[in-house]
Amino acid sequence: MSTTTLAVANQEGATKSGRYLTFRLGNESYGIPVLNVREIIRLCPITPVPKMPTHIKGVINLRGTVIAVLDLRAKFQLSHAEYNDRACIIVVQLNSAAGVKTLMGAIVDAVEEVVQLNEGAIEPAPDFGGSPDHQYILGVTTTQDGVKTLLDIEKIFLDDASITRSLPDAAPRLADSSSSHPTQPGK
Amino acid sequence: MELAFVIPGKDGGLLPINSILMDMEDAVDKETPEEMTGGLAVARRWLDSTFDGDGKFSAETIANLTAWHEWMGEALAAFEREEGLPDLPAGWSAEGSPSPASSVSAVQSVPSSAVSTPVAAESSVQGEDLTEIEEKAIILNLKDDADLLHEFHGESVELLQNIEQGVLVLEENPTDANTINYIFRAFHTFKGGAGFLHLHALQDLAHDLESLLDAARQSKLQINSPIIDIILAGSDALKHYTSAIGEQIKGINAGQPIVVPTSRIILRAKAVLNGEPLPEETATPPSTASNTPVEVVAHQDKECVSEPIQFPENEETKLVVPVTPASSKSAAGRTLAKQDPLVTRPVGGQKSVTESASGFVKLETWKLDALVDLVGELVIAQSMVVQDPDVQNLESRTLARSLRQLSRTTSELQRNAMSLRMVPVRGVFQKMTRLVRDIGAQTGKQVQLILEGEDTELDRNIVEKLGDPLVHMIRNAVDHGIEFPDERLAKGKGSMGTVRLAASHQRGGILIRIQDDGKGLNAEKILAKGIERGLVAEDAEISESEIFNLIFMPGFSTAEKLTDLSGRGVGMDVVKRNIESLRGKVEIQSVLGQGSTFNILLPITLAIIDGMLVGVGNERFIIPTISVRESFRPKSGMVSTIHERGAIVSVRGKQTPVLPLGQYLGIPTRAATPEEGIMIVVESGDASRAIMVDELIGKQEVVIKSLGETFKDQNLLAGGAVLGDGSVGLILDVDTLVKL
Repeated sequence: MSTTTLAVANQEGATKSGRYLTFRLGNESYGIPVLNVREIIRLCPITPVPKMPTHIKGVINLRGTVIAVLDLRAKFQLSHAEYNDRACIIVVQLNSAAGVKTLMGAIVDAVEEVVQLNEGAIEPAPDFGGSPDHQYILGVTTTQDGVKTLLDIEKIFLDDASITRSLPDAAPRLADSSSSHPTQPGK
Repeated sequence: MELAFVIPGKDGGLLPINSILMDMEDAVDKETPEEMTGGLAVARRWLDSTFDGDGKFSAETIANLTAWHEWMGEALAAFEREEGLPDLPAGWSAEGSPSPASSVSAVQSVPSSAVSTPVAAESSVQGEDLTEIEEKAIILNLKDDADLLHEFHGESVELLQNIEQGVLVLEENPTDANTINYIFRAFHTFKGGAGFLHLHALQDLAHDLESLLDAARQSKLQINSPIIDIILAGSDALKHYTSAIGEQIKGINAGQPIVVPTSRIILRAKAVLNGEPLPEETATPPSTASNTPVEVVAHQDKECVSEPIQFPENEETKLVVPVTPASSKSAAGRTLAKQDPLVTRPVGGQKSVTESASGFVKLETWKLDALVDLVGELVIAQSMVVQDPDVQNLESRTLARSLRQLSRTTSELQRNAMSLRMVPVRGVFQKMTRLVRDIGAQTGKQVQLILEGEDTELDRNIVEKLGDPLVHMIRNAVDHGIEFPDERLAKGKGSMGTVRLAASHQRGGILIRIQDDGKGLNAEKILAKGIERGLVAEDAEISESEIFNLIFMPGFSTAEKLTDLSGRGVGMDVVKRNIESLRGKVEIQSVLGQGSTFNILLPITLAIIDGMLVGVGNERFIIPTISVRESFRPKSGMVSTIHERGAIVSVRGKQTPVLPLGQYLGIPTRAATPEEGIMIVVESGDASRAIMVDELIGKQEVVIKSLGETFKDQNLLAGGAVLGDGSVGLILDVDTLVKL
């Protein structure tokens, strides 16, 4: 299991230029920084987790590691549609403030390509009038295929990285840390 | 057992039976009576012929197996009573000559039991017995500290090498805070280990060097070359000790005192610390008298060290640590008179340090965890292949045989991998000896600690986290449980109190029992305290065990005044939480005036649990078997409702609330009425619930995976596990379910 150390992408004030993976959700096109993408896998059976918000589809087995999978359509409150055979799961790596690396999957309708974007090609996000979605939009870029919205995937996922749901009269408990993914000490 | 699964003419149930049989075969060892092995071989032959045939059970085989099941039940019971076993029914062994396959498998299974393994629940009756017999034998043969000493030696060699390298770095860059810290910690660890083994000379020296580095760490002292010299001289001295210890472990010069001059180093270190000028090298007379011989006496018998290397504290003649020159003269004189000291020369030590790597390989934990993870994956991949419908439809004997071979090898590999993480509880237990002695001395109580089953093995992650709760509970037992000698005599007990700390296999897990013969828990007092603290209502009617469990509530402390030892705010609630975080349970038994017993039931490993796979609608969930008391299909009339909503089922005369899992989780169920479903009675603490599910799919060992950050704040699920088909099954958290 190779734990490639990816640089922390998109630090505040850092340049937005770089390579982006673009994908489709319905008729819209989005991009996320390629540095966050660990791999792209085909849609596989997802075990639903009960009592979770609808956009959390459940968990899958990624070669022995259990990871959570989100439905980006549901997350952005887009219209619901069945997945076709081009649908796939983008596995992203999130670096939380505490330095914990988390893998999560995002279901998208189709993956397009990886594009190199320079600072100049990225326009700031248009102002939709204080819509909360605004926070995780890095900017927009225009290509010959149309407008692509660039997303800060870490901001999107980190809300979901810890969902607070407590049941009555029971202290929170989690599976032991020993079976979680071992982090390789940096040399 | 699982025979109920078998339906004539189908192949369902074949795999479960086969796996049970394999487990039982694996549990076989030398002590297993011949009849038992024979019985297993018979069943193996039947199963193999079923495998080799059409893979379906004939009515005859089922009848045979049922009879065999009964016979095995009797045999196991007889085995437990240590009586002779019933003979194999005559027809069985006569039934055709054993096919090659069966004799091979019977032979193969015998040596496999050499590895200590978690045995599946079905065969645990047998497995436990065997393990216990093994353990007792080991306890008789093994003596106290051999293992610890060996470990200490291995660790020290490494620490000293690290220190030396660190010092070299310091020579280049005397202000490198990281290196200073590193050396400081190394000496600190060394000191700890030496102190634990009562190697006071080493401990003192390490302590002074540690203080030296501590001063440097806090920038009170500038590292310069004299200081580096002191550190190097110190680590050299420690190295001589270590190599001498190593030699004695191997049986060279066994029992001889080890003497290495250290006082000069200590003096110089102290001088530097106090800011005094360094004593000149030449100022110290070279005689042994002022070099303060300090001896380490090691007793050795044959191969294992029978006693810890230690200073006999009362024999002054051997323990000579004069600090001032004045006293050193007479002390040294005495030493010389009595001595046969082996003064380890610097040259002699060097060689064995390098070659003494001892029989251990030290590796980083994550590598081990990764290996165990991968093996877990392999097991899953293997079962995916075996259970693949395409493969199952192939009617190939050779394939079936190869797959069986694969299954056996992978499960063996898994057990081996798991055993890598297993360590005996000995280390943790032995630390308690010291604790009890110290507390006894501090409180003026006479206490002895009896250790049992120190060789019981547990996942090292559990052992590591077990220390703190044990310290706390032992401390409680001595401080609160055991009475003062006069009090004990007045009650007709011996003046010496006894605390027993025992580990044993139990119910597929490990039971750690802390038992004292002190005054026991006073239920009335606890209840009064609970009411006073607002933990229970004043008019509450609660059972004795519920009262005892109050001591685990946060903010509860029965000690009337805070003593130095217990009652410093870290209460039993922390103990309970720690143990629960290891997926363990604590139970209290206590008789007023006669003592208390705390039973801690722990899983053998954190990575694997025995689970019951249940189906609700189209979903599957895993319930940890350790929490399951029983499961059954309710007959009509067993379930009654209250207010047409809450249902209760009577289980053995006890009314248990029903939790319809599908309804609670919002999953459409197949069972419309309770009679169509299966009730699984789970318990946690004193609470229990009958969880209603659609079906019981089977039992299996699963490798627990964390669900990750996303689900860390929910408490419905304890984790996930990859099932045989590669999908993820969710493990329910019983502690939460029983509170719903």
